[in-house]
Amino acid sequence: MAVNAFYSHRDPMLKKRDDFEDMLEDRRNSSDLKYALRCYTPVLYRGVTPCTPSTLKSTVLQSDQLRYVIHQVSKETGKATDDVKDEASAILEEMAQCLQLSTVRFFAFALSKAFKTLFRSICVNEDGIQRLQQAIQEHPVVLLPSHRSYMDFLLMSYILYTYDVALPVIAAGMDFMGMKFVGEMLRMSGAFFIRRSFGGDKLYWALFSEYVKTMLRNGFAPVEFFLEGTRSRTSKSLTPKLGLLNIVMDPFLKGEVFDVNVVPVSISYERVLEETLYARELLGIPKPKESTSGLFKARKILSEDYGSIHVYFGQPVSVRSLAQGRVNRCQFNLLPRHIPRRPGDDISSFVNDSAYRLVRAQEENMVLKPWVLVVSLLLQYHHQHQAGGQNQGTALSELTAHAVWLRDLSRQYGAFLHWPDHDPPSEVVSSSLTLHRGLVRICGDNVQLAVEQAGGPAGPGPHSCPAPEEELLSQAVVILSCASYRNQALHVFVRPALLALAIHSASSNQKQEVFNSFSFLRNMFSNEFILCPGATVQDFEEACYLLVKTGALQLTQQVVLVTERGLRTLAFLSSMLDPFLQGYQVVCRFLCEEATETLTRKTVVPAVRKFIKKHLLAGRLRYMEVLSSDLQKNALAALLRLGAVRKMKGVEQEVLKVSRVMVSSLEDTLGGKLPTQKAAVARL
Amino acid sequence: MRAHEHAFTFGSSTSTFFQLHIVNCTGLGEKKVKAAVATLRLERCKSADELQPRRSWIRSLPHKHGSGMASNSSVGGSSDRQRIAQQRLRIIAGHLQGPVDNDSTILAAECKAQSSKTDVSSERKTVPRRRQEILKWNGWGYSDTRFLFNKKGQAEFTGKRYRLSGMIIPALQNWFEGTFGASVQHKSPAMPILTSSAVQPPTLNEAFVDELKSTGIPFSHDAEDRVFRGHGHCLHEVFALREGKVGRVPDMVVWPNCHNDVVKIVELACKHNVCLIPYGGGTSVSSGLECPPEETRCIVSLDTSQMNRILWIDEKNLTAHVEAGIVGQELERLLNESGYCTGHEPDSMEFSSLGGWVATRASGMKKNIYGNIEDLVVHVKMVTPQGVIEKGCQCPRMSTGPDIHHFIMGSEGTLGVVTEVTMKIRPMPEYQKYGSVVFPNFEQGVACLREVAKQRCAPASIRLMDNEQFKFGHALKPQVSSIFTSFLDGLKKFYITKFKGFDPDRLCVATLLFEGDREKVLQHEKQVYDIAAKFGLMDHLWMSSCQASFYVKVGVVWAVIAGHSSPQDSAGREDTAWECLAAVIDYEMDQ
Repeated sequence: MAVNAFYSHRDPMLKKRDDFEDMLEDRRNSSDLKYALRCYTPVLYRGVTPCTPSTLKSTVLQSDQLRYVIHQVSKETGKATDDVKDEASAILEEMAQCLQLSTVRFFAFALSKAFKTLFRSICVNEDGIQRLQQAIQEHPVVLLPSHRSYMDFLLMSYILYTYDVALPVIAAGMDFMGMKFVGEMLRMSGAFFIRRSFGGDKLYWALFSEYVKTMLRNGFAPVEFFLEGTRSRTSKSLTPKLGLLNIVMDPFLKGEVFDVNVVPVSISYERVLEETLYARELLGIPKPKESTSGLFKARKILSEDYGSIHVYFGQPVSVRSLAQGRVNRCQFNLLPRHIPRRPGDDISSFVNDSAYRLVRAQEENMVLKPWVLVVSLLLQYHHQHQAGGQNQGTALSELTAHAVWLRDLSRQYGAFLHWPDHDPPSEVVSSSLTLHRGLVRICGDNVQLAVEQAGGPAGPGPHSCPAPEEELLSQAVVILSCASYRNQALHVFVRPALLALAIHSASSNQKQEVFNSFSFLRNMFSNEFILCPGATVQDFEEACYLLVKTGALQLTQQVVLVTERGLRTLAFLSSMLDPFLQGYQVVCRFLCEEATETLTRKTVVPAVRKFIKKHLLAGRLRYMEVLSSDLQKNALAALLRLGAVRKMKGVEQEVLKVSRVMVSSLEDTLGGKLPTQKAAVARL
Repeated sequence: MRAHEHAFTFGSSTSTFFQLHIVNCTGLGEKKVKAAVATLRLERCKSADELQPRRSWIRSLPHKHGSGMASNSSVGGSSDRQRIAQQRLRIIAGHLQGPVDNDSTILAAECKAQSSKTDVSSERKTVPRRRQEILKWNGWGYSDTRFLFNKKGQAEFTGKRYRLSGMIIPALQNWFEGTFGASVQHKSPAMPILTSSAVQPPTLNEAFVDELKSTGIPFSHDAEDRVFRGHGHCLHEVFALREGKVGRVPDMVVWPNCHNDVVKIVELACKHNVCLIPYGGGTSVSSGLECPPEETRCIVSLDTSQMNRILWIDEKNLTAHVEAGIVGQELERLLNESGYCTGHEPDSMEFSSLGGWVATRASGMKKNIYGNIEDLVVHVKMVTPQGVIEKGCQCPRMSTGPDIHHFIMGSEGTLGVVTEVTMKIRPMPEYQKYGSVVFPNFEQGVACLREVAKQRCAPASIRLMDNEQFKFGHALKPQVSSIFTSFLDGLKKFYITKFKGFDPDRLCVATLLFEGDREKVLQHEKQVYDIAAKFGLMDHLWMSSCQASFYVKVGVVWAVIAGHSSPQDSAGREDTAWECLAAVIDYEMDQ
């Protein structure tokens, strides 16, 4: 049942979604204190083994898994078993959560106050909550919220508390623990802390995975973590990290539980709290360390308006039905369960596919605000005007008309658009412009991006005459902020847009040619967007279907024809991806022209940035977005994946070895200078 | 090695006659002394013999034997042969003078299980790819370990691997000559080294070789490597090699390192129409390694010796998952390190491999407690031309359908390559005790063992030796060093023969091995001895526990030498015998 819904992204129009309720409304009308102290009786897993956080810890420490690994480690390192055991319990002490209702109540109170000032509304689909509640009763549940803001997990717990659903335990990065007092508070509200990387540490991995699995098996609480691993600075979904997903699927695969339900949760912010922070981070201004005083200083954001939040609890996905016919669980009988093992190829690919599907499920239920469409248009105008040399902005009426066109298009593409239909479009557009007044400038009837202001809305400090480079950076902050809003809609358009680009760059309108071109681009960008691995054909078909449906394309057995009215759509779609295309090209050019022998992963991004700045200042590049380090890293990852760049053992650290021939041929293909087929050959 | 499962059953008759072929050795052949010393063959047609149901190793030898000299070996003058045979036996006799201090401890001593054989196994971690570097290319065992008649004409055991190594076995020559009518003067030299001209050039399948190269799996078509894997240890196979007769041998040898390598090799073999013969320890006596002479395709010997890891031990379920190429002694040593054992002790366990046990349905000496291989195996992974076959669970049995293990076991490599096996393991026994019972004659012994069988109280191992074997055991004693011990020996002899009136030419001995926790062992021991008291003479006054353990091993040796323990063991195991013997004596010294 759950799966059918999950698999059906065939026709996005047919998707039926639940209605939202504003949960802040209640808060505004009744006492927060009373709310915080109310009787909280969540429905629990019916097979729950009641236990306290401390018995949980001792269960983990005494499990066969841990004993085995402790024995192994002591054998390998020569340390005494007891020492290793002590080490293990210290790690667990550092990691474990200790959920306390009193702390939760404190948070409930404090967050109510904060949310009411920050947001206009917090909308939740109550049907989704119902389904979740049902799922929690039946099977162990894993919650997978999208991750755009620090707020996410506080918000999740807040919502679940409000609706009387069992509070989750949350996998959080170790960096939070560094925050005095707050770290402990978070721990008492159900967070457990994990190191960001522990590659070789067997003991740590065993403890961590056993801890998570024990909580899942016992039905102690729903386990919550972020599939994307970290906050997405660009508002695009990140390619999923598989470690934790592997762990939570394990109890099912090993037959320790009948099933595990995974619930994707989409949290969409109308305005992200960290908006400019992210843009600066992407430009290479380092992220401030998480600290309590930092949090305190950040209170000034309380005075701003951040619009509304939409939280959509998706259909619970049964791992059992996901695995049906894909995984032969027999293999798990053949190894004692307590012995850790590397997942086989079939398991890895199953988990990987599932992860992509789950991220797509998150994406699909992301609510898009009108602003997202408006800003996509504004960005395109900005670049067109920049190219044209004049920069007067766009008339509000024209913008509105285009926005309405885009609204209809995106709805046809299956976007979950939250456009107030009862208001006149012009009002909708102008209200979203007001909310984001830091990013746009309205002069009379004309609208344009606020790039001319030196320093931008949250400038890096007072300076009278900004140097060209600083001016560039402050402009880039605005552009990147805008781009991150546009990115929210990318998942809707990415497949048709790739097709549009493919049609543009293919040497003929033969379907096969276009497909080759499509599959090259898709392959190139698969680190950038969520494109399920191995689903090239499906994606191509989906893209064709959508374009044909909207009348932009005509498809015969052999040929792909663009219709008259499709030109506009295709132009819009391809210019949506243009910044990415240019970004990848410029990374390629950098590698061809300036790569040295001592290039490492660490030094490459600053070097690329410097290179790009130089070209931007010289006016050779059109899109400031290419300054985004996220884009550069993705480009590099793609090149690594394609083998155009290789990691080599260097003297001290890994060195990147560039194959200039391949990189330049890729660059040419991206620029449409080479037909795709050749590039494909070159890659081999 | 099969003997033990039928420890209470007896051969169809006690009057099977043997013709004894005593093949002598020249100086060169000395490395083969053991092969030559006592090659006993059933007079009956060998192949017919092999088809017979298993017979017990417990049988009496004829009092009269055939003509002593081998008439079929024509190499060397007979006087020469006689001289050398005599010399050899003298050396062997010298061994009896070895320091057997324990003789003074007449009361049963307790033997801890741990000490058994560990020093042997620790010397050699794995079987090397070039086996001929440490093993004989045309006989059983290590190349540095052999029997010879030294310059003084005494029977001597060489090498350093066993405690017996370098010792003199004084009584051997006399027994040898007296029992079989053998002569040390008679020589039949073995081919000293392999001449490559004797080996046919390999028929290689180029496409197969090319693809194999790309997998990186090591392989060789060196003549020595090929010949080594072209035979098992049947009598006729070893003899052919001694004569330098090399028939059809594999054209190539490959050494996979893991299950996946085997999968690749089998796939390639199917693709290129190449024959595969799995090779484990090479101790086969069922002609399982023989290459069909008429085969024109490329024959590849798949040597599993590099697949010798214990992949995991599950201490809760008491199972171990092991790669099939591991040899018995190595498996036991590694398990002992974690405090476990398999309890599976086929006579060839020094060299035979786990995969081979499965493929030949092996049995071990202590099967009364631990079971045979079919009882020990929980899970088998086998690569067949149709793909990998294995059960989907690790449980010892299921109440459904036919058991696929039953066609894997005993398939002799004809159906596929066994790559990984999950085996039952047990904690090492807390307490081990050897014992023995003397009977006035074989019939009494049989009656006693029947009674033990009836009461279902068989110890880990129980074997009845007939008089021939008993005498043989005596002949193997190394030199006694002190007058006191030789005096005691005399006293014992006097007690048994004169006081109890047992006829030295008729008495026989049953050897016993008890294992388990101390309490139970003692209780069990009492039960068995109570039965024995009705039929024979308790051992305590006669033999120490350690000596008893010696006789247990002698039983092994005898079974092998006599070549009538089972169809598989039926021939060519004289080498094993000596090697085992060496280990036994070694063992006795340990105590």
